[in-house]
Amino acid sequence: MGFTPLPFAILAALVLGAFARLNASTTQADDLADLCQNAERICEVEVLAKDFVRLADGAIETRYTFATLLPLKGSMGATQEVRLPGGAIAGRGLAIPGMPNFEVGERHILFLSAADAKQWRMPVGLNAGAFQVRTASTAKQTQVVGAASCCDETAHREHVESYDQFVQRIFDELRR
Amino acid sequence: MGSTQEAKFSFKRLLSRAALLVAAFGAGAGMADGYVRIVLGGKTLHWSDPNIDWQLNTESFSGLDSVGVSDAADRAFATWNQISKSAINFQRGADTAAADYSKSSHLVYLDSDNSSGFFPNGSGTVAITPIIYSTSDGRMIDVDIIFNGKDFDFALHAGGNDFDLQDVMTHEIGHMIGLDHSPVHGSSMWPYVAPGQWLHRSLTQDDISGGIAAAKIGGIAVLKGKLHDFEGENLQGGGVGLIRADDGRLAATGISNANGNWVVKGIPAGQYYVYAFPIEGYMTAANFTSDSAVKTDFGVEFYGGFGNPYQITATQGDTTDCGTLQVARDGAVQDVFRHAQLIAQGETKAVTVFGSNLQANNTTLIDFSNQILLGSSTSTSSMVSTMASVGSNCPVGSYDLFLELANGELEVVPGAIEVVAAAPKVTSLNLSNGDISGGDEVIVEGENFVDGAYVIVGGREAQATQFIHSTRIGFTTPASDGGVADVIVQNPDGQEATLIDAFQYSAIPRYADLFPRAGYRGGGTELRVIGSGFTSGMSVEIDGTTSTPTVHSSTFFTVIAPPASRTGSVDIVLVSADQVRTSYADIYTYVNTPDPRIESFTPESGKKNGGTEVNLYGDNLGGSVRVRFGVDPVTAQGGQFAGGVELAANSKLTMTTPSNPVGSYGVVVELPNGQGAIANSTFQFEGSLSAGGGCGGVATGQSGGKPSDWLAFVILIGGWYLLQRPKFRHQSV
Repeated sequence: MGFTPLPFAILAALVLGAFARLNASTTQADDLADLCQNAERICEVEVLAKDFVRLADGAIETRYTFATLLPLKGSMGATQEVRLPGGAIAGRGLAIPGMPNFEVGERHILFLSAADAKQWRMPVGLNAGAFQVRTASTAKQTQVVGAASCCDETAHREHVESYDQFVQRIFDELRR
Repeated sequence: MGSTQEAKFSFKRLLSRAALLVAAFGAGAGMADGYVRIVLGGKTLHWSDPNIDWQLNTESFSGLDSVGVSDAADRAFATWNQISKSAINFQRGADTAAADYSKSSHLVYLDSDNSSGFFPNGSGTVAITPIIYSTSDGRMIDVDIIFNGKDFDFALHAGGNDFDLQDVMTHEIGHMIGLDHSPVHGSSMWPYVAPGQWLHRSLTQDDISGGIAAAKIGGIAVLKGKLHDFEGENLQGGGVGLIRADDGRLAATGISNANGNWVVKGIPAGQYYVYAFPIEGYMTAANFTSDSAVKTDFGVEFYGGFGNPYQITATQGDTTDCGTLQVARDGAVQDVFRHAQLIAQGETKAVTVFGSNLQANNTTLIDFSNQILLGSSTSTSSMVSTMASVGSNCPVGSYDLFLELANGELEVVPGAIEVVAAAPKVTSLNLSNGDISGGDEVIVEGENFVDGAYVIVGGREAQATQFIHSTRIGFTTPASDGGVADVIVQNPDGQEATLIDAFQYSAIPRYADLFPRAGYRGGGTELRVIGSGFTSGMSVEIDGTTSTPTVHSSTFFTVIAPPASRTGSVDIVLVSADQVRTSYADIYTYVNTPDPRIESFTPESGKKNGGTEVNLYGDNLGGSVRVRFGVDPVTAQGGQFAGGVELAANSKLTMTTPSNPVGSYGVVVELPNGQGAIANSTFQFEGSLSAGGGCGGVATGQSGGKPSDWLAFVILIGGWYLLQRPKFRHQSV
């Protein structure tokens, strides 16, 4: 179908709704205000590289190299490495239900937690804290799609919002 | 295609549009069906052995009652174990203190300090289920469930502001058997949860079919087919929904693979309407763990068409091929529906579906049930609303809502309505207090109780729960640490009702026996009472006069009898620290005669097989006196009566000791009227191997026989071995 931007009221119901919690592995935070508040880093990135590493304790992590396109909150370099649990290497895989997956070349706006002792910096609320940025085929404008992974270029989803509007709302939240 | 095709839906649709549906309610069983399994790298995650051990780290759930945590976990796992036709069998191992998900035991624990690494500051993750699997075949190797105790609180009941442990755990266990999230809004595997929610505690048919597909037993009903997109190409990642033709319940959702093929296993046998739908709306492909592509650029379409859908027969033990379905062109409509609308049987509720590109005044909500009456739809470009009246006999389960626009465009909200049984209510208990050790038999009264309901007292599951009637359940109280407890009745569907502060747990003192059973009316007799639930704060009333006992243990106290104004039998009342009174009638007698007293006895030891002549000295011994040897020197209980007791004088008795196990024991005298006395010193029963036969006796306060006895024992065993040696040799050949 041709994409038609959602009315703001619907977006509000989706993004600003407060009571639902993602239960993926179970997660909280589908509220933009919560995302902005809980995230230590907010940034738009492009995925440059993706590698799987097996840790000494047996866990598997995915190391993403991101080019920072637009830093919104927190301090970060022009490129940054973000490590997330999950991935597959040497015949073993670690799957985390609810964990977003990013592919090289994709653009995302990410709400990232602080890094812990393992240097894992999780998207806040897992899928809820990752928004894919892509150019719509029909609307001729850049859009932000709630939650990452999936789909083809023409896929439509309810979390779609104009890029400019979404970034502006993040700024608004951060200024509060 | 092995299916039966009938044109009947247009009639239902017409009725629905006109909001003239006449209820033709009838009872039915079954629910909605729909599941998606996790597929990574083309491999479906699965267990090679459906018997899955798991271990609970109970102590990690600090702040929650450990027994309650254990019970909630058991209920959550039992929910999945109870799926018939599924071989999945969770087996609980010994509790553990382990909290390391990288080990191969399948742990359930609460991570309170982010030692797992999954919950850094700001993660917003409530619980997580890491799955370690083999990439070569999808075999699951280790799966753990970890709750985020650093940032969130969990509860052992629904309805509050915390996440219900059982509700969240039931969802996570679904991942544990390899299930992904489901697009059915009311299913346990729906990806969203709210604090206090109970809905995920029980499984929809969707989850059940997933459990069957994960490890089926025997012949099951299977439907399969193929999806083509509008250009006739294979459609990957298209959702498939199955609606039961008999009652309109959603009966399963599946998803097509790279070749457009779909298969749904483990559905009830019967007739189905089958449709394809894009997985979009509030749940999207982003909620899937699977890494397969998901197409959403198409519209909802039925086998046979929406206006004239085929009825396709699913037969137990058979696979029915539904053939190829070419989906509709994509439309502009998108729905936004966050949670299933719960409507109880017999209830009417408004249902509103938000969305975009709806047609104002020309969007209609339609369902397939003839037992859910939808009123006229009211719509704008961003919402459509109606009133839904559910018949009192409408089968519980999930029901789809379809949005039809005047231009023919169609959208579906899978499982938008979840019909539930009427919620239980708890009104009273027939007993409002009981002992902390549990075991009190109680009947809870209320409404809408269902066979199989749990009763939870103070967070702990009651024992011997017996469903009597929809208004009554009998149960036996579990043990408690004391205090006031809420009583919860939790129906099998997860709904619960709470009677707050309904049951007072106390250390209720209970009487078992006392010595002596009679005493001088002038008072001063020391009573030795055994029983249970004795605490330092308790008091004792003897014939209405309160005394403070000396509590030696929870099973033994002593108390001095107060003077009495009369003789005869009197009641004794034990009063707990919480002022719970337990009365025992006529268990003590006041008499006019002074109490007996033992001053000494000689000798103070004798052989364990008895026969030792003893002289006992004291006061007020009287006639027909009995003497017990071998009694507990503290409680004055137990022992055997001496033989040949003779009153040599008012202050002297002669007797012969009974046989008794080796050890040091008390001696008591008892008068026929119940008065008695215990000696301050003890009588030692001595063992003799040559006389007593060796090792069988229990030595109380003794470490063993004398050296000469041991020597005799060694000689005896050695001789016996020499005599038996040829036999041992023969047996060993």
